[in-house]
Amino acid sequence: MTGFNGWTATQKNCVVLLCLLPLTAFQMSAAELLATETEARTSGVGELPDQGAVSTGNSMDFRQVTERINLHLRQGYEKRQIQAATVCDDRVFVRRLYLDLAGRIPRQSEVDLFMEDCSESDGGRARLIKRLLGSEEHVTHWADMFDTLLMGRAADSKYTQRRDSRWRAFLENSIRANQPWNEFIEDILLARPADDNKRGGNWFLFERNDDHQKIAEAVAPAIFGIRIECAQCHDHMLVDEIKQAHYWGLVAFFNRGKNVNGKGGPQIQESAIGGFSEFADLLGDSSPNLLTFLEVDTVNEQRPASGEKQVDTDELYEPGPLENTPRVPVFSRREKFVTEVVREHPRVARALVNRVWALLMGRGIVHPYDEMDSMHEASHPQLLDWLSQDFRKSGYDVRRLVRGIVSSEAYQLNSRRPDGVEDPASFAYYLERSLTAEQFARSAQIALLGENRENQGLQSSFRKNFPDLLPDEQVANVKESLFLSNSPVMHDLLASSKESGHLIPRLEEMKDSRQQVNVLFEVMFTRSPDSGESQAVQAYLKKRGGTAEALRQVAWSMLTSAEFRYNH
Amino acid sequence: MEKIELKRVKDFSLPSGVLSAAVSPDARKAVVGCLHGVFRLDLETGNHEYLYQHGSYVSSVAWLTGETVVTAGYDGELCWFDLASNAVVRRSKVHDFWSWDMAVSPDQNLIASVTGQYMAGGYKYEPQPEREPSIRILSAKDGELVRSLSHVPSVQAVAISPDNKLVAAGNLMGEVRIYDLVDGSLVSKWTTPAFTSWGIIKSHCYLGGIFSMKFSSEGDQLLLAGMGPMRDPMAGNGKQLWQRWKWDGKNPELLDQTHQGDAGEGLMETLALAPDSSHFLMGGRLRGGDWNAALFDHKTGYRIASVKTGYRITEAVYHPDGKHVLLAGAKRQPTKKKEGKFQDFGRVEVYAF
Amino acid sequence: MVDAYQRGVQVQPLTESLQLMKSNPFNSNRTANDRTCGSDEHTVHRRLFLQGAMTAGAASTGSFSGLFSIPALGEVTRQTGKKCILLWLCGAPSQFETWDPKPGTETGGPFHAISTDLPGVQISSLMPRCATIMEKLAVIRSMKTEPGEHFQGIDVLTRGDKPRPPFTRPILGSVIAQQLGQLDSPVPQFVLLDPCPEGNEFKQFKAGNWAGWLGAEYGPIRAGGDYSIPNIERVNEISEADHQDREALRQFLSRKFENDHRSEAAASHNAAFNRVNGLMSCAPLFDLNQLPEKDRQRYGGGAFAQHALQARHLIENGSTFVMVANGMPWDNHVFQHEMHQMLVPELDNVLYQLITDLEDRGMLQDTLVIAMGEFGRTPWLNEARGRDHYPKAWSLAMAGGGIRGGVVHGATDPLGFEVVDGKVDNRNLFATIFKALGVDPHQEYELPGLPTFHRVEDDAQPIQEILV
Repeated sequence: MTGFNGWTATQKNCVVLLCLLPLTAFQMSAAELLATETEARTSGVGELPDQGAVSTGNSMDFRQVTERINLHLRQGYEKRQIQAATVCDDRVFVRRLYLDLAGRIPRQSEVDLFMEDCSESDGGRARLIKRLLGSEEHVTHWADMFDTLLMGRAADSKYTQRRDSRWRAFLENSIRANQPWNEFIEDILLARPADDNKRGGNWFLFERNDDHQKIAEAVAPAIFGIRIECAQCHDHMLVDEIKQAHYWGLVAFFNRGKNVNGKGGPQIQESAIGGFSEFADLLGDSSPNLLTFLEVDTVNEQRPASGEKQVDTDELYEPGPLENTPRVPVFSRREKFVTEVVREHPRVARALVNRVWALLMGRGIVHPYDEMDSMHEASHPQLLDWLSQDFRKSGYDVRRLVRGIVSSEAYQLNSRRPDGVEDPASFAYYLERSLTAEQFARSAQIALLGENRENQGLQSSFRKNFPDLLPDEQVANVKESLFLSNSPVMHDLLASSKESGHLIPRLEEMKDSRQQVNVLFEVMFTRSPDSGESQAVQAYLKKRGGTAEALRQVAWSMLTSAEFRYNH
Repeated sequence: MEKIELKRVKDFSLPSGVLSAAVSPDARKAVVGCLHGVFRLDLETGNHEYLYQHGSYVSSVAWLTGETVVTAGYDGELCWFDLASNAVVRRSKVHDFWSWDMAVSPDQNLIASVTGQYMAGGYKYEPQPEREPSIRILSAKDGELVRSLSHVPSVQAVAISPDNKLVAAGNLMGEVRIYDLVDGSLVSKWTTPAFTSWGIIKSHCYLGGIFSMKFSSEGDQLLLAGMGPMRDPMAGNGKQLWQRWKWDGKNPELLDQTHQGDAGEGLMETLALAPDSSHFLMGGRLRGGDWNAALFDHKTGYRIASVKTGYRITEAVYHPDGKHVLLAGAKRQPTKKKEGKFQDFGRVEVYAF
Repeated sequence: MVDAYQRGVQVQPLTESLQLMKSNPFNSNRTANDRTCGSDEHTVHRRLFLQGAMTAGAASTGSFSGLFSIPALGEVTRQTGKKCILLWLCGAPSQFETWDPKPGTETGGPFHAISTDLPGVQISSLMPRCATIMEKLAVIRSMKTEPGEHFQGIDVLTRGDKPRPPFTRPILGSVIAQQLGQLDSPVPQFVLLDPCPEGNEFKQFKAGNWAGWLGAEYGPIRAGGDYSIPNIERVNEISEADHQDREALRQFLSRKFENDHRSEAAASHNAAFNRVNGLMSCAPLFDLNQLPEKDRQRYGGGAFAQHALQARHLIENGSTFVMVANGMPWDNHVFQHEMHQMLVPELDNVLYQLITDLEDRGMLQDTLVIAMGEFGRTPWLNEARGRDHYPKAWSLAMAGGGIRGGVVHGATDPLGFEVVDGKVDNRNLFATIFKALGVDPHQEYELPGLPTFHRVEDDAQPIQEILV
């Protein structure tokens, strides 16, 4: 028995070691780090070969976006009579860009490489942008964010379902291929793929489990950038244009759907009849739930007379597009929604532009990003108009938009709010934002272990304790601080930095506490300590004899400090 | 299943919202219990006359032999009234809390009235045990208390079997108890959670329950009415729900309930069984959907007719001829006085089919 | 501690003093041989750094859960200023079924009215217990406010005024915690007890910024139901002293970033961490099961009643403001009477128990109890047997803490449609609350770069009649 156990353990260790070797090798020494750079280009955050490569957007074209942003924001500064912050230095930039595009802090080696590249010739930042946009980590990070925006945070079991249903793969494929946004949303709203590889897109509707109100309440912010919950019981009290009829109209487009989960996987069949009801307002007056939504003509549909019972016959259907897919009604409400409401709806482009802007700039041009209604004015209306128009003209090219924004001046400003600037909506400084749960989990691993293992358990723990993506205001909460202070998860994470090449063993090998502190600051904060910081930490370590425990305590202090916790 | 058309033949207003009604044996008049008093209503002309008031809303009316009616109210009292002499014959305080519902036995010997105040018991607002007997059985003749039976508050619906031997009562938690009226023994009890909500969204407490019940003509089945569960009890958007149960010794069995596709949303407050038992009517408030009163075939459960009245239905009574049904209820109470008085907001309609 | 660092005193404060460690009840597994230094100066720094947590610990007899019932601390608490318990009746209760019954009228509803210990004053029959202590209560029957929707109503009635974007006015509890609270107390000064995770508009409101411009450190700690406080206890693998030291280093680094970057996000991050220490020391206060069983039964079984008792316990042990809510159960558009038959008696008993308990403990004159929602309910019944939102004429009640009992202020017309006497709006109400608690109602907020704000705008006057 003992022998058997011993044997398996050995086997496992071998496998693990084999997997880890090429990656942990990065941490060996500075020289080796540089030497392995070519590998980094092709494995980690490098450009991928042409087949299956991540599209980086039209390289020339995106500059128009950048120029237009620069123009409008500068006009804004002038109008507000404020002086924008200065441009951030390269080390601030590299941390920021890795976080925003690759979803994690850069490794020390990656920082060194970037600094070297910048010193060799101009355009280092542009090259880094292009490289990160082409990386697989970019795909993962943006899939995280869009998963959160479209599906919401959820219990762990949901995340498993999202993988099993191929939703996650669908999302990643779409981002990897830079699928035009309009096509993407048509895929998930119609949920009737003609291509077997796109079946994962069905999960957007399927996860709502036939709760058609939930679907409507998800579609409104995700596709149109508005919230309609308030209009369930009455016309929106504060936003005139959002009517109760829109709420129930949006529900009606989906209320003939019913989840089926058979051979073809999760799918949403649609009935050709039913789904007629009346909604009552606060006074008890009722109205029919017509197929209607903001700013489009009501979709015509024959309503049965009162008391008339509709008969469901085969003539009302056509066969489904693929094998094992449900039949499709000749008059499909979902299809009508896609073709007559969503397609060409002006809010679609505006909503996406505003959301991507918010992800990269810390808040939307309209804030909150998903309340783009008459109550919430755009800070730069002309810019939003231009970007939305341009986004449509570009064929709904998301990556081009991203590239245009991160190449802008405003994206590269320092985060310290300049004197005289009060309003964050001026975008006169980089708006700091907390790391998402996934960003934090990855970054902490990068710092402590030198690599990101896409540890799902760790990501899940952080998800449960960190605020949601894109909160209206950056307000810390005590729950998070308690978690960072006392959670066994944090303790175990620090304790796991114990293998060769990990941060703590690396530091232990160093004789000089000043060097230890320098490395700690480089790894954690992508900068050198100032003398006060260096002395304080050195003294702390010295008092404790420089033990591994002391080093872990310092690492904890840095991981949980605001400087690590925020992207700035 | 043959469809029936419900045709409105009478449409009357009353000064106050109607909670209860009874029709005279000759179907020429009705006595209606309102929020603010008891009225006599001429079903030919619509003329109405105020008779008397309870200490609170009038929740039930029943027609006794001849010209006597008995009413029950939220004041916990029963009141016997002689229509011939226009005089209160007897008042009897039977509950500390409301009479939620009252039923008279077919032989007109017994009156059953149910009460109970929902009070917070546990952390999740499980109801406290009763503080007074929830079911009171009285002699219809003299008002004497015959029997007190127990239940869990609040008990909101009561019915007596066609053979005058059983009383059934249903409560907030969907618990049904059937007692033997002769010896007071518990014949059967079961709980159907389908009528009760524990509010997840706005309120952590229970709401809903069984609001009306009727025995089948054979007396071995029970029809229940109310509203299906809601995540948010404030929304009133549970399914329009009836259930038909049968019990056989200790094994109660759900036989049928509102069919898929037949139900919209809203609280169903009243049930009535046609004199020939071929169909039953359920009515209440419409929240979403296209009917708030509907006829269902008693055997198959198919919906055979429906109407939308534009007001909350609180009572449905078949005329003895079995060809008409009276619906009563309330619109929203007026929000201001016009010429010194509030406009009528009680409604009584008669439908022919 | 931070100051010490900034002045260049870098290391010493991080070492532990033997004296403190010996009396530290959290540290039973440490021995006197652990790293010690013994210098008095270190002790002082340590004391400053550890704030109230250790000071309280030093007086303790060593029992963790006994920490908060030691008389010495109780005495201190009792003497220091006023406190407030807000029974937040979210969703908005009906004035007709509580403080302003209109029996026998078209709008009066099904419940009757009963006489009280105040001659000529009646309240709803659903409140028999409060009817016996009206001489301790001040009832306002003439509330008239503007917002008729929950979110806006909650906003105005918890912050005192309408929003003036982009500035967020702090919520009442945050103002009181900041003005009257003891920031060096380990006990959270502002606690929200509410077990309901959902709640539509109230949920949305709870997700917002409560402390507003005062900053995150004045925001509430939330507990109740499943909202136990997770991760409130330190992992076993690190000693209390080591944790405190690494926390000091964290704070040093993080504060530096906050200052260098002028970072508001970092300020809020740091404030949240400041809470952690105190919280860790008072975990037992948040355990309902540690409350005496007799008291728990007396208050009643429902979550709201249990948390009202917990509020008393928190106030007795050093909290300054406790807000008790239970989702928004009072919003009875449907089933008005079916809900109020249960909710009002619960409120009646809770108010009675709370007020008599506080009085028995000699705490009533310093503890203001407020029971209110965000507006009232319509005089008329809607078609769904419910009452809808009605901000035009509604009622609330207060007791203790600077409020004169036995007063019924203001009146509505016989049907309850309009206020006919003694109109009170949200500003008058907040002026009254602040005045009662000894906080200047009209103080200017000095906020750099912001327009002038007053604690209560427009010089709105308190209701003199109900002030002591």
